[in-house]
Amino acid sequence: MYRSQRLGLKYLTASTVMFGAMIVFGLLSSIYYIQPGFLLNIFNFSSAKIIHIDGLVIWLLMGFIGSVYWFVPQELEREVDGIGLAELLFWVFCAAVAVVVLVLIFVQYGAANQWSMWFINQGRKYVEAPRWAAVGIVVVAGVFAYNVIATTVKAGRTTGILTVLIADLIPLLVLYFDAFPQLTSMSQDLFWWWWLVHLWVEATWEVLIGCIMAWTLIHMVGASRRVVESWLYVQVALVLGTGILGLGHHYFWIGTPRYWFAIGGVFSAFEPLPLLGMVVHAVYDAGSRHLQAANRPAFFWTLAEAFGNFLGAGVFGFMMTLPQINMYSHGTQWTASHGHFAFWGAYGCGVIAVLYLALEKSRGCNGLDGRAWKWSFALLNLGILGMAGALLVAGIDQAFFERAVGGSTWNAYLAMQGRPWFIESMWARFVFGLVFAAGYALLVYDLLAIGKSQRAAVPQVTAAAGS
Amino acid sequence: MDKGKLVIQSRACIDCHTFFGNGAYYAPDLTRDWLDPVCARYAGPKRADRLAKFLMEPLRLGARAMPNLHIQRDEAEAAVAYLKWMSAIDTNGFPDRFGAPTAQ
Repeated sequence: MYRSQRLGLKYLTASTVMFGAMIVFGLLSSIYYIQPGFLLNIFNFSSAKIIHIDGLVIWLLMGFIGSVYWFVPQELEREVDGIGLAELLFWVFCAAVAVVVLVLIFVQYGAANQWSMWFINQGRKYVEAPRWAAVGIVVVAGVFAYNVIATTVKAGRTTGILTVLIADLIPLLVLYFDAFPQLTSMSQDLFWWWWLVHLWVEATWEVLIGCIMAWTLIHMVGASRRVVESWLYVQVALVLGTGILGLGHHYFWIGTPRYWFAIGGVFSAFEPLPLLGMVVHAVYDAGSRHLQAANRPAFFWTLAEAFGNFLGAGVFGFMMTLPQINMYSHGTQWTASHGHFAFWGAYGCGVIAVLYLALEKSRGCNGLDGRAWKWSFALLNLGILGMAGALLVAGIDQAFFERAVGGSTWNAYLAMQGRPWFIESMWARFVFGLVFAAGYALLVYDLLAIGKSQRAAVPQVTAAAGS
Repeated sequence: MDKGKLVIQSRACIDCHTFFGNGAYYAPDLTRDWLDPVCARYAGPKRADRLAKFLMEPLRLGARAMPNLHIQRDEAEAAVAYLKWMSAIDTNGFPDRFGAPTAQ
């Protein structure tokens, strides 16, 4: 196995740990809704929520980085250039994440000064981590991009997937610089903040996971590179064609001009198209193989990724992005419903698929199967569907009673939080969160155990990997 | 205004509240907070004073209780001035029917 692949496994392991941390703090966040006054002034909702959503970003980012370190040496049949630095930075990255989590737990917030911005909490959603940590992420992402680009240059050749990946890593890195500004105007702040949040999640991350899933299909079921790359090009064209201007749906109400209604509405309507393409492709692949693959967990998680991306990101996203609907749905639990389903479907399932694929190769198995993965697959997906469903009910209730009828005042908001449907939805979300957590526990058990008792005689990955 | 924004970021207000509908959904939206009937019932300088006092020593409001984030007097005044400033931004009519009489 290449050193880069070992590093990839380390990243995927760290990613799985962060996935667990995200679930713990997500469950904690859900308790505040059903137990008013929970941990008030000790560990407030905002602190739990920050670790929940920042943990989400970190587990997926680590999963993507790990996946790329896993696939690139196979793709180019050589060790990744600068692997020593990459290995060092992995430990720096893990240590930095641990320090940030400890600060967010024990310090939580500071006074209104630059010290707080640099060392405690920047107070901008998803990028709350203090500035020093944001600098660290730029360094890690920079070295990661260098690793991929330098290895390709040294190899003297490239592939379609790798070229798309390299083209994607540059905006991915550049957009992250939006994690730093401290703008006085909230309108300006949010305007540029969306360049990071939207253009990462609905453009550059979609392309990145497209590359990762393309490699997954090639290595998992021996899909034709020509077919996979053709689909990737179509998807990239559609994602960039719709996703970049789909940014407009975040500019309806933040103090920006009305022309964003038309831009955001039209391009958001097209955003599900590339995701529908993925579903068509996945159904075709699954049907042509009669739902059979040597690595069954990786195969089913890949299918879940295609469907989850389309339903969670595409359908649930489109449902609330037309301005006429967004006026009432925006800023309610409806958004949280879409957020949970979309991140899981578009990215979470894909990272888990790569995990199983990497484990199959690293444990020298010829295919993977068992019972535990089926239970964890079922519980995790049931959990997310239940949470998204419960939040959707709560959000629709809010959109109607708090927004359309109540006029969005403080009293309308507070009255809404006490309505039976809302409270029942919050309980349902908590219960399905527990189901999701049970699925995670089984996933960890399965990842630790699967394949260890069924090692094949022919190791798939050796020192001559990729040959 | 700079100080007001720093107060909002340092206390991570957006991780409970929303601004222009963006943020967490655990506490009310702050876009029109200055104009909200809860605040607007206080006339003149009293409104800013009451709001600043609330930020320094929050009260329980229905299903929610705001934590005490150790906001100092100067910080509270800056934050209130910021909320007043923000309430004047044209948000294309968001949120709809703001402050409309409700049957609730």
